[in-house]
Amino acid sequence: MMKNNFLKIIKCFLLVGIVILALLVRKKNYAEIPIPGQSVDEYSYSWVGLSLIESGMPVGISGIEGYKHSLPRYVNVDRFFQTVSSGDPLIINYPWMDHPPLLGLITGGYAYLSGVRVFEDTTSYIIRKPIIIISTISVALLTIYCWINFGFLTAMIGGLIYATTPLVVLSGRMIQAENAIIPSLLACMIFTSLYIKRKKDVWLFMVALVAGVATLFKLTGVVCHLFVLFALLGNLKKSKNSFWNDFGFFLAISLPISFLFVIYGSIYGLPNFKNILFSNYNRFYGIGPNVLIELIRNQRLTQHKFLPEISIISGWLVFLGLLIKKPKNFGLKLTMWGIFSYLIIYIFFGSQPYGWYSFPFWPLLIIILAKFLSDGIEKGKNLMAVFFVSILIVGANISRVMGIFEFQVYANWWRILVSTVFFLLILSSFCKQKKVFVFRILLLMIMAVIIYTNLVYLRSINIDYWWQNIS
Amino acid sequence: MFYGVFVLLMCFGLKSRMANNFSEIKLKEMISGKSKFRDMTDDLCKYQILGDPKEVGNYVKINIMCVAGRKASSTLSLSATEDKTVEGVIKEYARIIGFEEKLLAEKNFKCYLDNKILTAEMEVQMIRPTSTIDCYEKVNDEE
Repeated sequence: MMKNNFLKIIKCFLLVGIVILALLVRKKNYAEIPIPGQSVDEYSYSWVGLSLIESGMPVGISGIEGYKHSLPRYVNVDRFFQTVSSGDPLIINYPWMDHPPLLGLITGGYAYLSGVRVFEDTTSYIIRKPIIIISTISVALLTIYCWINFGFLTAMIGGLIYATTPLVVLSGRMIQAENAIIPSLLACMIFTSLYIKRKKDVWLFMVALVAGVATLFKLTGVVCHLFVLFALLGNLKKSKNSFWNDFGFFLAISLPISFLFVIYGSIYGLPNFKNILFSNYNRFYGIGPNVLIELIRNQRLTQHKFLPEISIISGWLVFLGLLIKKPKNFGLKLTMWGIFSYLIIYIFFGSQPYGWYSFPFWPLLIIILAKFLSDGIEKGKNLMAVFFVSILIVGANISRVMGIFEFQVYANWWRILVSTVFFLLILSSFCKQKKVFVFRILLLMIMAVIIYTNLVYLRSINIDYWWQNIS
Repeated sequence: MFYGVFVLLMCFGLKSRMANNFSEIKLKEMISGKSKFRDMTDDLCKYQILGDPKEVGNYVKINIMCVAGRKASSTLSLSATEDKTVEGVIKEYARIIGFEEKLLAEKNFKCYLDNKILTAEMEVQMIRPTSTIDCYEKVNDEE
């Protein structure tokens, strides 16, 4: 008993360590990378919150049709007109109704508390601080979700990958509503799994509360509603009678919270609210195969900045494998419903591959990747595939850290090493009693290399690197 | 019950906040108010506005030429400038770049509007769209 408690405490400390690591890597150079002004949404969200607090009127950047008040203006915050501007003034609209104001209230509210009163003072140094905390919370929630559903090793692997994957770290510094939807969705998934496992109403209440709040960040927060619907439907066989009760209870709490946006909008005039809502529906829709190809092949930070991440691509590969295999594991099913829910939202709401639209896929893909890797390490499951995926990730990381041409000196060693391990893996698959201990150690070492190279790469990203290497 | 109270508080809170605090002046103050945190520069060639506005025919070009051949070239959209006099445009440019407008005089800049020397009389006149303001540091009359 004592030993168990002691072990639990150690495990908790390790997970806290991951969260601290996540915070530290997100904090380093946070005000410089991504370059401020490459997405003016970051300022817009903060201005909406700041102006709401200061004057009761949400003022932000929009440019979509339907606004009564539209002012082209130069607001040279972070001197971005000298670094990344296209030359056009910003189109400032009020009352700003593009999205619900909760994220703006958090970042703008923090700016207000820091003494900011004018838009030009909402520098990325100030306004990005709250979002870093929010994305660190996402790391904590991801590890908790993995621990609850898959065990400690998956939590460690998932947490470490999500905490250090460069694309995830950099995207986690951007003030985009998706960065707030991620922890909402993860929290929803945690509470849903607890509710289905323990059948205590308090968890369903929490799910509904979080789902409602998620829609106050952005309407795509409705992904939480979809997810709960799928999760409850998936559990229909076990509890047929309770589905309607559960879903009714969930909607009775979550919908009134979501409806707060309509009430808020009506304060500034329902016709204005309606106009902007319909203008949003008329936005460019990227119909066609590129929706999915871009999503899987090209990971973006902003509309024009790419940072392809093999961990994410591997996550998609594992997801496709799971689709064919149809997993029985409850946690995996839940995660796949999460991916499906957001895929529906992504295709029908967004579809245009702005960077941030795809952010919410990443934690979910990393969860299934972590489960896949930990099954290989712990149970020796799919060892060959696990080794293949790990080597892919390590290879991509080495190429980033070292450079493809500089690596050529070691190419022969790499080929010999990788093919030897593959050969041994093939041999070991013929043995009845699988002695996978050596491979487990090897995979753990590869995991350590992945995390280390992630950290080295993150350390090397500065403004010069950004301009020269991230296109 | 709690929900109803929250909604009422939100409605009345926002409405009264808006009625008491929002005005055109307040809006202008928030959008164009002077930054506390941004550094002011006394080097007028250090910064410029990148790119050109897409709006055709409604801009002003401002070129600042400093000593040692340094130059800052900017294009300012007139739609984003409230005061459309020459003086107003220069003031707005100074605000965006972050320098005291009086520096132009203090640092002995000589300015030209469409190649004509800028006089006090011209400064208060409305600027013609697509005009060019050129300012040269320490330029002698003969030059």
